[in-house]
Amino acid sequence: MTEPGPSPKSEPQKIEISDPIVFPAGLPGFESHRQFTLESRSELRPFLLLRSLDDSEIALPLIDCRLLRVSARPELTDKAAQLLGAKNATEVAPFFVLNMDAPGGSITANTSAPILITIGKSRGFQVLLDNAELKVDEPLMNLVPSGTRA
Amino acid sequence: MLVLTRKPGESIRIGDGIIVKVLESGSGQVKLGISAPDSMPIHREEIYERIRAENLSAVEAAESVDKMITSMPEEIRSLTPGKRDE
Repeated sequence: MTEPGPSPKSEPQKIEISDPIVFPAGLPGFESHRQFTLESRSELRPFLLLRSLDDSEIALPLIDCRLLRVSARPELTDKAAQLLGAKNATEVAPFFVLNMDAPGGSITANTSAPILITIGKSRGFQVLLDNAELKVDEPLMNLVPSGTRA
Repeated sequence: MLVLTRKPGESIRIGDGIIVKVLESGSGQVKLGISAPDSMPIHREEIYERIRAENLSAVEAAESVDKMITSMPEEIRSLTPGKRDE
């Protein structure tokens, strides 16, 4: 659906988290769920919860990819962003889905299928990237900027 | 399931906007070309199933917010928009 390309290094734009976010294609595993909200709780920061409005028990933990290493962030061209309904790539906020209880007790990030949310239009998509180097279970610590690692 | 036989170069049309064309066949595999609207997601089945399973697992693992808080390493907790490498 999207093609890799140059990624802008702009500051994250603020997301209006109170707005419902429409996923026209649903999400793999939750195909019938089309509307979600992005919950931000101070105790969970920097994690967010993408909660289904169709079933409030369904919530995916996310992290804003722009908090992570530059090399770990999904790349998005303006053309691909336009397919998502945005004017350009700076209007698209990328997130990784987190598994909080991965084997070994670590937190992993699904880098092969980022969730992209178009800012302003509140539309979301989970994009399956065709790149064998990306993992569904990348340890989150591998993606943390070096300055914040112990 | 509808079963159709096609040769390389031949196509199948699905509805108004989807065309599946056989580009090559042989060596135990078939190369397909697919024309579809941009809004129509197209995925390899095994990749879609892997992402589906991972999403289901992520939801199951996040059932306890308390668990999320206690399992969060300090390096992760300290991530803020101001702290990043470029």
